[in-house]
Amino acid sequence: MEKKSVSSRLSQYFIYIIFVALVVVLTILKPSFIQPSNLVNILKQASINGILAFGMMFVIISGGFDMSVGSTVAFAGILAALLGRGDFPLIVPFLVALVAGLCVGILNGLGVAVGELPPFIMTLGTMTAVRGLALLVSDGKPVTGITKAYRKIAASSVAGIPMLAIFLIIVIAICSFVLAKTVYGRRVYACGGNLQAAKVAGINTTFIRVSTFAIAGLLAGLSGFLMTSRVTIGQPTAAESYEMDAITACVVGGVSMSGGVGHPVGVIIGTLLITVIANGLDILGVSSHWQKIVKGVIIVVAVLIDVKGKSKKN
Amino acid sequence: MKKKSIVALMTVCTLGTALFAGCGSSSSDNSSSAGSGSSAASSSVVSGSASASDSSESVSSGSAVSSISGAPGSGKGVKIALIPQHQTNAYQIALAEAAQKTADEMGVDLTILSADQDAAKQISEIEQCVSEKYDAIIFEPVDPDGLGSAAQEAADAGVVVMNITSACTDWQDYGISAISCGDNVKAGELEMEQVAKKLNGKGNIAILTGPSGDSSGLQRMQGYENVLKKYPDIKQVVEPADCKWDTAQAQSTVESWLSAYDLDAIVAENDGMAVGAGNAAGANSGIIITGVDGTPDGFEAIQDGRMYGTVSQNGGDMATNAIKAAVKLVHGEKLESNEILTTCTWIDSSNVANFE
Repeated sequence: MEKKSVSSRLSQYFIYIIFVALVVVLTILKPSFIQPSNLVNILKQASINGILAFGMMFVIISGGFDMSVGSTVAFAGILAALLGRGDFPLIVPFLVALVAGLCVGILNGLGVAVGELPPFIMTLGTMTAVRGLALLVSDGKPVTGITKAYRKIAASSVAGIPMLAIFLIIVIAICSFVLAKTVYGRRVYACGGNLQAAKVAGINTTFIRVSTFAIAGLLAGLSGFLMTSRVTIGQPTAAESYEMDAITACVVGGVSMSGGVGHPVGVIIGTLLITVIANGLDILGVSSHWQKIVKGVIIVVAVLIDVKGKSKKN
Repeated sequence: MKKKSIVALMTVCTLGTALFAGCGSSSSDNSSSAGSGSSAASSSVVSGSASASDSSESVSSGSAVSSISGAPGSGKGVKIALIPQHQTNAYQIALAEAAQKTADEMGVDLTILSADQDAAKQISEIEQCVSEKYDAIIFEPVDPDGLGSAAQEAADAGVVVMNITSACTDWQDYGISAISCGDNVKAGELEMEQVAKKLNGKGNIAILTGPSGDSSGLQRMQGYENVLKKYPDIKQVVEPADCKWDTAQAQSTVESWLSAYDLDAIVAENDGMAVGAGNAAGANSGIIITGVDGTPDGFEAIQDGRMYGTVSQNGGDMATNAIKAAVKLVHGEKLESNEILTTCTWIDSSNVANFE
C-alpha cells in the first residue's frame, strides 16, 4: 500500500514536468499566453471539463466507466434553458438540471451494479438514449431566450476569478475531501481495487457503485446548467464527446483505467493540461488539425511515462 | 432520511424513463409528419423564409429561377421520401417543416427520414425506399462522393432522384434528375462582402470553419477566398479554426484569440459558431461577427448586438422547390433547369425582425 502511493506520486511528478514544460514553451513562443486575461480564459475553459472529470474520477476509481456524461450535459442544459427563460426563479432550472443528471447517473449505476451490465455497454446505451431525449425535448432546435440573470452566472466573476472557476473549485474541494478523508472515499477505492474482496469485507458494493455513477450524473447535470449559461443557448447537440475529454483528464492525471488508483491533484493537472494545449495552440494560431495530433501524442506520452515510472518503482 | 430520499429519487427516475419511453415511441410514429407536432416557434421559421423570398427577389443570384409552379392538389397519389443528413439542427428542421407544408398543400404523400449523419444508413434508406416503390427520393447527401451509386441504382429502378441542400459530386452522371440547393459559394461571398464593406476594405480577420472536409463549409470558404482576393488590406492573422459547427468550442477558441490578437472581424461558417464568438467578445464589442444560416440563436445574437449579421439561404424555399419539382418530374414534365438555386439574403439588425 505504502509503495503504491509512492509510485503514483512519482507518476504525478512526471505530469507536472510535462505541464510546466508546456507552459514555459508557450510563454516563450507567445508571451501573451501568460497574461492575466488569458489565465482567466484558461480557468473558464477548464471549468466544465474539470467538473466532468471529477465525476468521472469517482466512476473510474470504483472500477467503472461513463460514456454518457456528454449527452447528460446536453440534456440537462436543454432542460435548464427551457426553464430558464424567465418563467421560474433561477433555482428551478438549477435543481431540475441537477436532478435530471442524477437520474441518468442512478440509472447507469443500477444497470451496472444491479443489472451487472458492463459499464461500457450500459453507458453507451444511456449516451445514445439521453442524446435522443435532449433532441426530443428541444425539438432538435437550439433553445434561445434565457434570462439575463441566467447568462450572468457564467459571465460574471468574483475578485477577478470567473464564476465558472468558483464552481469548479467548490467541486474540487468537496470531491477531494470525500475521496481522501471519508470512509465512503476509502470504500470507493476498495471497490475499484478488488470488488470481491470489498464485498467479503462487508462493504455494500452495490450502493458504492451506484453512488459513483450518481455523482458523475449529478456533476454532469451541474455542467449542463453552467454550459447553457456560458453559451447563452440550450443546444441538443452540445457537449459532443465531452466524456472523452473527461476520461483523458483522468487518465493523463494518473487515474488507472483498471480502477482503485488515482488522486484529485492528478485530475486537476490533467484537466489544466488539456485546456492549456487547446488554449496555447489557439493563441499560437496553429491549425486545429495539429491540435488533435498534439493532444493525442501528449495523452500517449503522459501515460507511457506514468506506466514506465511505475514498473521501474515496482 | 437519506435512504428515503434515494428511494424517492429512484422512483422519479424510473417513472421518468417510463414516461420518456412512451414519448419516444409515439414520436417515432409521427416522424413522417415532423412538422405537424411542433408549435408556433416553428411556423415562424417557415413564415420567415417565405418573407425572405418576397423581399429578396431583386437579389436573385442563382442561375435558375427559384420559384416553381405547383398547383394545389396536383401531387395527389405521388409518394415522395425526403432524407436529410440528420434532424438535429434548426436548419434541417425548418427544411422538413416547409417540405411537409408544401406536400400537404399539393396532396403529396411525404415521408421524412433521417440519415443521422451516416452515409451507410442513408444508402440503406434509399434502397428501402426503392423497394417500397416510392415515386421520388429527395436526399441531402451525407457524403458527396459516397452516395452516387445508391442514387444510380434508385434511378435505374425508375425512381425520380433529387438532391437537396447540397449535391453529389458529378450528380448528373448518377441518374440524379435535379438538385435544389442554396449556393454556398455565393453565401460565403455575400458574408465576406458585407464584412469587407463594414471594414472599409481594411482590417484583421479570423475565420471559424465547420468540420474539416464538410462540403458546404469548403464551398463557403471558397466564397470567402474569392472576396478576399479583391481586398489585399484585409488580413487573416490566424489560421482558420475548425470548431465543428459548435458554439462552446468557438467560444473558447475566440476567447483565446482575443487575448493574443487584435481582431476587427470574425467570420464564421455558421450561426452557432458566430454566437460563440459573440459570447466571447461580448455585446457591441466593435468586432464584426458574422455567420451563415439564419437560425433562431443567430437572430437573438443579432438583436442584442453580439453578432453583426448572417446570410440566410432560405432552406424553406429549397424544400418547397424540391417537392414541386419532384411532382413535375414524376408526372413526366420537364423542368426549366435541373439546378434550382435559392437566393441568399443578408440579415442584420435592420431587417432581422422580419425573419423571427
